Amino acid sequence: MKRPTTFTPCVGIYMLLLVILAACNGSKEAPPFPVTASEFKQPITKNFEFSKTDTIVWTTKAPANLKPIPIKKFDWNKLPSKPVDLGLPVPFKGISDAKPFSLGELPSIPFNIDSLAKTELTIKVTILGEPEIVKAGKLNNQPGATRGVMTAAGLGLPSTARTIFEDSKGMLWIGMDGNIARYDSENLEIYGLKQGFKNNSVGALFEDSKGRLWVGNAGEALSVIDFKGKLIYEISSSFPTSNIFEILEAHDGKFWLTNQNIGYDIIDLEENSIRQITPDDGLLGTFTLSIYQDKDGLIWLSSNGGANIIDLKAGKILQLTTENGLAGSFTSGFYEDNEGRVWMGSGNGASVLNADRTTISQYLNSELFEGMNGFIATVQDSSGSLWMGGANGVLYQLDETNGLLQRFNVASGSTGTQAILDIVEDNQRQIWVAVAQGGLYKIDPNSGSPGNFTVADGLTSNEVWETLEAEDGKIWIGTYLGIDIYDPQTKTIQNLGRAQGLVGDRSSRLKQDSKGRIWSLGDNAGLSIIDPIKQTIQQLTTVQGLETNSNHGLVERADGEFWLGGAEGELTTVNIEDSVFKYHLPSSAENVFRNNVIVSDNNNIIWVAGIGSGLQRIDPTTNERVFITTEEGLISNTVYSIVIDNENNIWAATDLGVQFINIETNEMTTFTTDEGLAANDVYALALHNGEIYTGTSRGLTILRAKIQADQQMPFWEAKTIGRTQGLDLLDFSENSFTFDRNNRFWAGVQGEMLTVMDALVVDSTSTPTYVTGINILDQKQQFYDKASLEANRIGLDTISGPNSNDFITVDGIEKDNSFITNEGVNWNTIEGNYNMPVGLTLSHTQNYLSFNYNGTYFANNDRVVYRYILEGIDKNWSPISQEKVSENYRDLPSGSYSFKVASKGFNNVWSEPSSFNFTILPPWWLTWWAYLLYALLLLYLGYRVHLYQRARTLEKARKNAQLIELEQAKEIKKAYAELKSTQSQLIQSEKMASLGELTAGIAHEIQNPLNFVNNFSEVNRELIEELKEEKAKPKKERDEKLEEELLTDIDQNLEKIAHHGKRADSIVKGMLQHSRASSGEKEPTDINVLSDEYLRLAYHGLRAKDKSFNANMETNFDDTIGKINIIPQDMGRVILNLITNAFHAVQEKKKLGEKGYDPIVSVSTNKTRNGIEIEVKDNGNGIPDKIIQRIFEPFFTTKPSGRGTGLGLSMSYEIVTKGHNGELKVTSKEGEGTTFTIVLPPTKEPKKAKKTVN
Amino acid sequence: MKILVVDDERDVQLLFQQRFRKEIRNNELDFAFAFSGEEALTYMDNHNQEAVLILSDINMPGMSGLELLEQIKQNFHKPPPVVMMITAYGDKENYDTAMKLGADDFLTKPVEFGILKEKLKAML
Repeated sequence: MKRPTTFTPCVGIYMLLLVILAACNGSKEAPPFPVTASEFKQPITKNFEFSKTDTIVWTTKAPANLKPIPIKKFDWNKLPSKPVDLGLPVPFKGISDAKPFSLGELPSIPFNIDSLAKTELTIKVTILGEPEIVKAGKLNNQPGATRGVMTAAGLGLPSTARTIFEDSKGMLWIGMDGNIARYDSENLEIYGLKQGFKNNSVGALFEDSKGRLWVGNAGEALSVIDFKGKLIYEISSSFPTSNIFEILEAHDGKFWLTNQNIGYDIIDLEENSIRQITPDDGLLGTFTLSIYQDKDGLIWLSSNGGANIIDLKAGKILQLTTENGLAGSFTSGFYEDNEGRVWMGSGNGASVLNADRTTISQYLNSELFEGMNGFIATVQDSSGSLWMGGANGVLYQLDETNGLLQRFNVASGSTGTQAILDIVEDNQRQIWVAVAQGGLYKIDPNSGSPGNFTVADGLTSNEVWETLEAEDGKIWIGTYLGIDIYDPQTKTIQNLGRAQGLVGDRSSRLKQDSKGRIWSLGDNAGLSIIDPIKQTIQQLTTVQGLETNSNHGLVERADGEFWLGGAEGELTTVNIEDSVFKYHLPSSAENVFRNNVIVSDNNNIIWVAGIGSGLQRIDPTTNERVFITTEEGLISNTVYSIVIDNENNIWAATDLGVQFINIETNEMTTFTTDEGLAANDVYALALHNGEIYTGTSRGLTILRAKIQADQQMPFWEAKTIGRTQGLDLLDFSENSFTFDRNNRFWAGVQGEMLTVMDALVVDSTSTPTYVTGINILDQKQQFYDKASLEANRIGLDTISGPNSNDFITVDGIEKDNSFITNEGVNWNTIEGNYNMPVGLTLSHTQNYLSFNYNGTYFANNDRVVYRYILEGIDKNWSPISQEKVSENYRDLPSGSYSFKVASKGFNNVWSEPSSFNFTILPPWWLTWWAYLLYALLLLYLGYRVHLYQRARTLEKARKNAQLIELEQAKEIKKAYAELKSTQSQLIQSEKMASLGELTAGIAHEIQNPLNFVNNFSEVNRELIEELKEEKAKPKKERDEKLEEELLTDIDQNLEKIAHHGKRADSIVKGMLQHSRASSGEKEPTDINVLSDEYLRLAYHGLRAKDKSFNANMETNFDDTIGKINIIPQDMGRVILNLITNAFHAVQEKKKLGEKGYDPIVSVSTNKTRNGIEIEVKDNGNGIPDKIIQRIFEPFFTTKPSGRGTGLGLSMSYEIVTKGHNGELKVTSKEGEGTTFTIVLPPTKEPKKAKKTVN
Repeated sequence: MKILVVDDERDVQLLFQQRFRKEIRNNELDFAFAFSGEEALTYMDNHNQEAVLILSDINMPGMSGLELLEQIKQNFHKPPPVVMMITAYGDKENYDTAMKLGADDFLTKPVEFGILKEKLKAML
């Protein structure tokens, strides 16, 4: 089981999209209707092989042992004879010559319609209730009636039927005592008292030009039913009325009605009047039955005194009586046939006026229509046959084209008056006959009208086992009591029995040989050979040479040899002329089965069908034999019958079905009940007009192969003649089929009767099929047309309720509590025979539907099959079924639907599909505006989500930004710290770098004082040695002056040593001072000394690095400056930096090799008003304008990477400006040199200031 | 014979006078001192090429010893004085330049007075 889906908004939206997509899909077209579809399967064809060949060995009977064949004489005239009516037509004798006729010469009297007696109509209006619908029963053979007459007694009519009428929509109406009913072959829709219909005996039904149904009563009432308004108009007046048998709407809109015993009534609805025409007005009699208006407008009225022809224009009545050529004075019916002839029935027969009204002929009952009494109703059917009904229940069918006349005894008994007033051919060519005294009958002239004949009809025995049409056209009927021989000419049966010379009673197999003799087999006493001409019977038994007396199969070969099949497998050949008898007995291993049928094919090959042994194929010239049995694919070895078609193929009937065996292709095609057989046990076979007639135990199934244009295989159709078609019994007798020269079918059935069936009329008409109802939520719904109801009720004063005398207000439609009204089902109007709604729209809750449907199969309404499709939901047509209601469609989605249904009946022709359209509305939440709403909601939702998402994103971005900022801040902080430390490191490294640069210079600077120290100390030692030498000399030799001089020198030298020692000391101190981190303390410093010191240091440093370096140093110190307060380390660094740069600048320029260039770096100090200026000047290349702005930026350097930190000048700038509140200025001229000037503010030292002032 | 010592270090005069005290007393050597290149040239002009041997430092503010050498070798020919260069920077470049300019000898500081005495005695 599938897990219920969790409904999430996302899924919802997805589903919504799906629904929208589905809604946009539109309705699906149904596949085309499969016209060849059948409720039966198509037969299966399989290959087969014959068995192995063996050879038959014949034994010849010794002639010496044979006795001569006894011959019995019989006399046709002395055979017992009985009249038998098998309902077969007889040749129409024709009529005597026509006599001249002229309407103008008829006697006439003046006639004025306005001078007729007239009175007002009283019209009572009653609501017409919904009819009671009952399932109709079946029509059955009318006992005692002629073959083909079926009675509607079993139809289930509520009361005695007296009249029948077909309305303009093809529906049959039956008028009864107190009721009328509409009949559609499936149901009866009955209107009676419950429906507000009051009429005790319906004599006439008539549909007027407005579709209203007029119901004439044999009693006092006339009702007009308005179905559109659902009203019954009961029309009455002060005039007496009686039997209304015929109603006519004249061209002028007036209604003419018979009023038996009075004359005719003329009703003018516009005038609300009724007039009566009686013998007083010139009518020839009061017994009136028929009205007819011809194309000239003449109104023909029948009466018991003759025909009255009213010429309204001329204002006269023409009187036509026997004196003017009428066959009888009691005129009973008028009918204009297709040729324009007017048939005028009378008690003695019909008088027929030709189309020109120039001749009159008489069709006298006494001459032509045996047994007919009176001549009332005449109808010409669609095949041209005229059907004439008499007053005694006798009906004649006159087929003028074929010159055939057939009499039908319709009503049983034929006692008393059985007036056939109505003959109707319905739209399915069924002839309906209503008898005014009660009784409704039907004849189907197209479905064979099978008859059921027994001893009661004149047969000698009910055990009919064989039929044969002899060369003379007589039908030989083989029974267990001899042979009944029917003579169609005399309509008699003669019996030929054992008494007349047959060897035995049983005659179950009859064959006529090439000499016209009829062989009678089937009795176990032997066989009889009857010569109808010589009127002799030869008796052939074992005594005369037969191997067995019990023979069933018989065939005559071309050479005159007869083959006989014995009851226990014997095969005997008979040469009767030469008395040669040969036989073959089955071996014990073979069979002891009856060789039931023997036939010879076009190649003179013998086929033997055995009941139990299958088929044997014997070549008589070689005596070679092969079998076809179940081993070879035969459906059963019990083969009752075989026939051979024109192509030499075998049809075999077995107890398990029928097989078609194609000898050429070695194929077998099998037919069973699945393929349409009425039953699988098939006892008789006949090929006729390309159809295969199979006699089963449950009826006669006719197989027909329909060649399909685009298919190799034919399409097989099957139809079965059964009880509905008129067969009383169904189990056909073995091998009893015969088709006579009139294509009439003869057969024995069930050993109990003979059936005779006319040739089936090829019928390719399709039968109207209707959707008859719709069931909503399993309830059948009645629809009505409110607008039509209202329109048809306008102007009415009062309407009675159907069941009582309560009145309904005129403007009101009766209250309707039906489902469709309460549930708000919508439709526009109704249409068709079943009031189906047009434009039906159902709500989504009413999507549980089924449909009723019906084909109006007035003929053969059994085995009608249907298939339907609900376009919009079904992909294919439904399976073929006899159901008359569709499956229940549940949970139909909203959309447009078309229910289509088609039917197929006896003739295997599918009807045009009938369709019914409706719409299921979507629930409001699936309508377009709901979708619109959803779309808007979706948009809104999307918008909200968008807003939310945006807000969220923004918030996120903000937070991220914050984080990033925070991070950045941290990083900045860190970087700042790092930078700080890097800076201090850089500063330190800058210091150390410059220290490095200075080292060499310092070393050099130290070297000089050290040299002095060393040299002077050495010199002193020499001097001291010299002094000592002098002192060691005797006094006199001593040079005192020298000694003094020496001591002075020594002293002087020591002074020099001390001086240079100090000098070195100060240099080292300065260096250490430089390398030391700045104390940050300002102290009084001699800026001149500082500058000089660093100038030297720088010079020697550079020299040390670059030996070629040389430059002139100039100093110009202002000695008045004195000491100023500075941070010596820092300021020294600045000066060193500036001087180093200056040296670099001049060195750069010198490298260019300019002639006469004298690199000069000068350092000067100057005391000004603004403070102290220290100027470092070079005559190098100068600084380009472009970069002079940037030289104080940190890390800015023009030196190659790795050669300078780029911090020197920026640090110098910092030190001067921030550390000392001074200024560091630069002026430069490209190509000429640069001057850096440090301007330090005056030292605020009071002492100094005083001094300065002083 | 006169020897002109050119050095920016003034104490060089005292040092030389002390070191060559005996030779000076014995008038074996006669020293003159100049404290820059320019001063040396002035001396040379004024004393008419009195000095026959010139001892010059190279690294001096103003005119360097090498420039002085060049001047002497170009301007003073009768007789051409012997010029000995003394420098703290006894590198090859200095040496080559000095030799190219016509220096007669090249001494590096600190001067070994013993060796210098020998050279002077030998030269004279």
